[in-house]
Amino acid sequence: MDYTDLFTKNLPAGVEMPPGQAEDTKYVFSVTYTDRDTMPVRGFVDALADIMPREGVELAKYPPTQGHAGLREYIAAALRDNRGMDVPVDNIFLSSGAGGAVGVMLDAFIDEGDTVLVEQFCYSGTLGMLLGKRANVIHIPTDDDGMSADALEQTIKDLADDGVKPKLIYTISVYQNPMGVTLSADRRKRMVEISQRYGIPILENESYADFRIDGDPLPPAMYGMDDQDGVMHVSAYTKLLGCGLRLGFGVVPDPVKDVVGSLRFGTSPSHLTSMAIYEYLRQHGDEYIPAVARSLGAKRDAMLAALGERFPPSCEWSAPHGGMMLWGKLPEGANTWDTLEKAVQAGVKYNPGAVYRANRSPNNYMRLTYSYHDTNEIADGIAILADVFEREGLFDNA
Amino acid sequence: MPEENKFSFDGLFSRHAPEARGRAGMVKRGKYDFAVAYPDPKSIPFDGLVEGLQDALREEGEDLAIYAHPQGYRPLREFVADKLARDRNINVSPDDIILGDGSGQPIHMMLEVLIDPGDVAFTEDFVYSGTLGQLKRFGADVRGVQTDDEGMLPDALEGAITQAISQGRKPKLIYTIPTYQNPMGWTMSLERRQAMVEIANRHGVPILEDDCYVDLRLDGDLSPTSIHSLDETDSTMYVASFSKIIAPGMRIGYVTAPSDVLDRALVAKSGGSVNTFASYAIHRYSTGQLDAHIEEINDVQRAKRDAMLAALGENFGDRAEWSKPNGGLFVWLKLPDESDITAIRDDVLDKYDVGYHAGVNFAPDGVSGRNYARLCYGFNSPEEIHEGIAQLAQAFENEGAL
Repeated sequence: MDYTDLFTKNLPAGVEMPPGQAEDTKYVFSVTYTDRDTMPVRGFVDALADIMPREGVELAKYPPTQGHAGLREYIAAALRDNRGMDVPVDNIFLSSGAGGAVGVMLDAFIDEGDTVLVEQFCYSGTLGMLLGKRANVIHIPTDDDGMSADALEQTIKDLADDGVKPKLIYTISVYQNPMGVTLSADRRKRMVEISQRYGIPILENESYADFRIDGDPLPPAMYGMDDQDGVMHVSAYTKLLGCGLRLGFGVVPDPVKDVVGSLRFGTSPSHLTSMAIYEYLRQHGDEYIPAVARSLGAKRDAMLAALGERFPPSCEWSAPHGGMMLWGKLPEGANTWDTLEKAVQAGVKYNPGAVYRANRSPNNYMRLTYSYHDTNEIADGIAILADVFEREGLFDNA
Repeated sequence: MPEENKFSFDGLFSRHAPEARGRAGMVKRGKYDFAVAYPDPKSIPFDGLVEGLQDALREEGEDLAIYAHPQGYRPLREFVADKLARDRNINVSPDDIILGDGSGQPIHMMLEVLIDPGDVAFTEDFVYSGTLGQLKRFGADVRGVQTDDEGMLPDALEGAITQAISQGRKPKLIYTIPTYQNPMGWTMSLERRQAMVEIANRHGVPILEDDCYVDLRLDGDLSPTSIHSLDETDSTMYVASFSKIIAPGMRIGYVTAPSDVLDRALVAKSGGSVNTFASYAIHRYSTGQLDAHIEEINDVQRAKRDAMLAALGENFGDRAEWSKPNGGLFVWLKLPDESDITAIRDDVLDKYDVGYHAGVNFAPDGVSGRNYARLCYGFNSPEEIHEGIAQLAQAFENEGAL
């Protein structure tokens, strides 16, 4: 059968990815995999064995449309205690990872040609969804305090002069992916003001909020600072507990709730998984979450040390207070996109900076994740990477 | 009117975002819950699932740290491929299978790559309300095709396609539940399956075959071979799930489709791969135990179906007609033509504690079937079914429907 005329006109646009990106390698510094060294595989089984006698019978039913009630209550309490958000459980829905929640929200808002404002470098997964929808993605300058509020407001004004009103401001406001920066309290306040003044909703993705290694306590989430229902919030347990668990959540204000609810039909996440996560976090969350952060701290330090040892001073690295990744800037002219294939042949994968830019134009930035491998593997992989870069002439390691 | 000082979402939602409906809140369930398609809660193999998961986590728990293959856990796809070859004459590679959240997400994926607003989709004249809702959300012009107890009438299907084409409309899809159809309960005969494939191929219309009840055979002949196996032009998509044979809460289903469609569906779907955790449990449990489990649950369901049919006979007698399904989970009840049991549904639930699904919910036109109800016999015990059906007859009498 010839499907050419049968496919919808709205198929996602193709998004260019660098050669080598899909290959398997021994050292994976390209994905925010869960920290294997703390992942509580045994704990999940015990948690499930504990909860099955109480709740197992619920598996016979279709799960509540918004997901496991107990887990949503746990989330509501955690958001209240840690993120300054006072949210009814009714406004929380569980999703297949944070990506599932972001996807639903983009479905609710974004049509072809709509303008979306994102950070200077924007998480490639969300960026891919936006480009797939043929959105007009505009990057806003971003510094150590996060997205620049001045630049954001100026961009909105300039667009208004051209008769364009953006549909959405998307930010990873905590340990930003890939840059590692956290949006400061002042910037959050201003961003909410801007959102309200210009009537542009904010989608804040706080998927890394549980991974605070050191530094100041995190400023509260914008969702709780906004009194006008203009902020949506997304986060996940995927990276904390296990990528294979695929469990995230979205928090939406009342005016968005019904639309998101109807879009989600038939896509609620596994109830078995929700039960295991709920019981595990209820019993062990208070010890487990800091233990993951400690382990990540050691890995971050190991990677920074290896980079300091193997890479020349002409390369600059972020030193994030949390999260799972480092952001690197190589000397001007270094093309991290084209070099990836060589690194993959040598057994190491990283993400070139261009995957975080809408125009895909090669640049001298790169992202390295440190969450998955142990500290010895990190040192070995970084040494290989430095050799590849030197051989390919990205820098001189005299 | 936007409230003062409240953020206005006017003009911000995307063009295809659905209209908001009234908030459902907590859905009330009757003591006699004939409304929802639950399997028997007592037959869920909790221990087997937990043991399976324990084994899997011991063997490969470390892999939970990474994102699974975008098409889902490969050993489970291998299991599905073997099962499809053995039971449904469908010979596909595990590479041609995508695991999804139940069967709802795979169906969503198929519609997402095929349906533009205004495209014509054909379904049975009463059909699963979930898929109907999804088709409408994608803006499909859904047209019901007349059926009898062997499935869609070939002449009616041919006529409906020809009519759409003569109206200058693009027929994009035939959606069918050919085995133990939801809600009507019949199974499509081999001749009808062949006729559907012939008609669909001739007009270049793909078929979406939803086979999620095929394992729930209580008696009668084995289901004829799958529509997928009869189609030599690679135009049939096939979905099914573990919801009805293990548990809906596991949320694991699957789809196989022509590679053109699968490749695009993979790009369209958001939220990455399906849950590995649940996939582990299903895979380990199913290997070696699933067939025996299916026999067990069918024994239980057979008693429940028999109880419901007997209770209907005792309480409705010749005042109504109902299906006598050889499998699946439902009885399709038809009251006299002048009865309307749509509006009284909430009252029956509140006053008599009996839940049912009103027939109009299954009608593509949204108005037919006001005198029909779908009754699921999976959830309550045989004794409760007897009580509940007696209550239901009483309720219909008191509310003027009988």
